[in-house]
Amino acid sequence: MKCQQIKLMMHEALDEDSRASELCKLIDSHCSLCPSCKALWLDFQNIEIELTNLERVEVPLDFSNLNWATLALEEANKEASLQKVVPQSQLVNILLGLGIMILAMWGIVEIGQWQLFIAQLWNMVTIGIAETMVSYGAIAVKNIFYWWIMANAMWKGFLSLVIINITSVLSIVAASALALIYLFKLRRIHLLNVM
Amino acid sequence: MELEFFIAKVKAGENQYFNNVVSAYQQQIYNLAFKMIGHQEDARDITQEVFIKVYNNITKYDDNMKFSTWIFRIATNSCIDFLRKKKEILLTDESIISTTANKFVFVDERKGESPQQIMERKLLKAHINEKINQLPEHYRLVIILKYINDFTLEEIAAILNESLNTVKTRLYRGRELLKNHLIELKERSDY
Repeated sequence: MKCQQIKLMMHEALDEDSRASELCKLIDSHCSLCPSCKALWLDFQNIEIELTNLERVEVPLDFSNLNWATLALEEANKEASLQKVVPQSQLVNILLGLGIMILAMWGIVEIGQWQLFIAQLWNMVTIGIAETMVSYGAIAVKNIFYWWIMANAMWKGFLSLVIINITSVLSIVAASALALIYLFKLRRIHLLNVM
Repeated sequence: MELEFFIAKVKAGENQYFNNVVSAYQQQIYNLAFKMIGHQEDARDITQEVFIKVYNNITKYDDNMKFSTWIFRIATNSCIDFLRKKKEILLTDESIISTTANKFVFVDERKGESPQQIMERKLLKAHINEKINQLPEHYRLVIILKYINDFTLEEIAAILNESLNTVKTRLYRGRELLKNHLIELKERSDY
């Protein structure tokens, strides 16, 4: 039998009490001819003895005398007071988010063409909602056509806008991105709290 | 049988019997926590936390599962959560090792052993204690459940909600690491 097999057998003998004596015979007969396995088996046996005799510690406090109902209540109160802290951080997030939103809106208002775009977009969305009862297909065709014209017009407008005032455009893009990040963050916090 | 009676009573809302359940498990849970965490104060807190969880959730306990499996599952999860929160194993603290080593002076002296053999055995015990604390937490947990809490491998598999083979593998690797440490120790003492 190979030493590797014997090594596995050693682990098995230590794991399973029911087969231990049977396996030990095989291991011992191999070990009588193989000094390295004999040393290994001795190490394992020493470890096993020490593991079996590992020191147990005494409970320093008599848990059985504690009032568990009170403790459970205290724990629940502690958790509740921890949860009260969350709305404060939420408030900071809301204020920061609002600040960034105002900054983004200011940027949009400053660059007039965007104002028009938002107005048109809103108009289209509301009309779209009102029309959903009539015919989905017709509305889809109308909307695609509308978007195609809008995208063409805005693309030209957007290019000239970039050329005219690149700093304003960049600040709007950055502010909008930050606003989105904060909004997502707020949404996540809100969802977590609801759960 | 008596314990089952207490558990059934607590489950039925008669909480005055809960202390009997605590008495039956406090020693084992505390030992598990202490061996996993290594600090008495933390182990005590975790033990208390485990019993509060049990107290709050006992109505959710499914009678088809052994109560010991359920309570030890809560305990092992609490220990692992604690270790993850701390993100460090505090047991390499020299003071703990020396305290542990000193305790062995009173333990396990075998008849017919020479003073040198006794000394070697004490040293081995101290090193094994130290090395167990340095094992990766999954290996350590299996070793503690087997050797401190005296669970069978099947019971450990149920507690950890893992397969029997996974438990055997962890035990194998844990033992191998301990054996390697032992060999290192021997080599060091030879020089």
